[in-house]
Amino acid sequence: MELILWRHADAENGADDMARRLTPKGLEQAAAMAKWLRAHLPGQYTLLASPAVRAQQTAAALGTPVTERALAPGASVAAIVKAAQRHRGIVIVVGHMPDLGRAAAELVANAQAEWSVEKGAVWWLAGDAPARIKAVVSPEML
Amino acid sequence: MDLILWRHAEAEEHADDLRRRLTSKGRKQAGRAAEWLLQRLPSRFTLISSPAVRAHQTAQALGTPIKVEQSLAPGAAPKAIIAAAGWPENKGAVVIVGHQPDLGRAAAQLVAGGDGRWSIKKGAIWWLSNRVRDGDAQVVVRAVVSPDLL
Repeated sequence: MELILWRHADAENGADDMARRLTPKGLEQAAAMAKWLRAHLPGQYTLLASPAVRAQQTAAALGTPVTERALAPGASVAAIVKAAQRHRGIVIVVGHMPDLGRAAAELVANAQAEWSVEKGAVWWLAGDAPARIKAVVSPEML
Repeated sequence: MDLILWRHAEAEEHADDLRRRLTSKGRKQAGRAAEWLLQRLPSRFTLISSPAVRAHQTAQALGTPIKVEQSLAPGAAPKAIIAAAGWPENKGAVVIVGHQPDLGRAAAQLVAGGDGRWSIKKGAIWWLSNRVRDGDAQVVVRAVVSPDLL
């Protein structure tokens, strides 16, 4: 399996965390990353997103996501892996920190750590744990 | 600091490992990676290469002066690579051109603190940086790209 962890792009502040929207900068970040992904993804992949608006908006730059409640902020590594494993091939998970950074640390290094995944960045992991880091790209690096 | 680990591009076979030259595909890989790096590196950076010809040829694609470091030859220990880069005190950006599994071991040690042997493809770039957040020293993986993704 290949798992692409994609952190939501830059978002506005807001009292209701689930309703926070992307800033104009965030919309640009999401569009730029979606363009990069489209250039490198095969035709078939699954796009999963947290129900938070900032994650939904990020995913929407690439396509229509399947919304997974389990990917909401605070998702455990087990929940992220479980959501991804229900699908074959390449699975993109649009979610949050520190959840995605914990998943990367566990899948790559079997470590209990919070690796930094920058806003709008993707971590492309290949193979079962221990996964290989195939690519890491942040909007600033595009 | 920014530490860019760059594995040499595809090379020909040769009885003398240190004299293996890049293939034509390898030269293209090095050129693409160099172009990508030059668009993102600060104007001043330090370029350090293993003495092996395939590493030196890869480094040459950047078109800037190369410091050849014998301790980066194939078989370099993670601590030798980390010392050659001046990590973590060095203030600028340092590009290290070397070999596998050496660079992947250095990446695993810096990022995960472990003795993993991470895969780094021929011609691929791992861009790490360090920072202090909430009083903790962190290592951030800023980019991982291989020639097929450039």
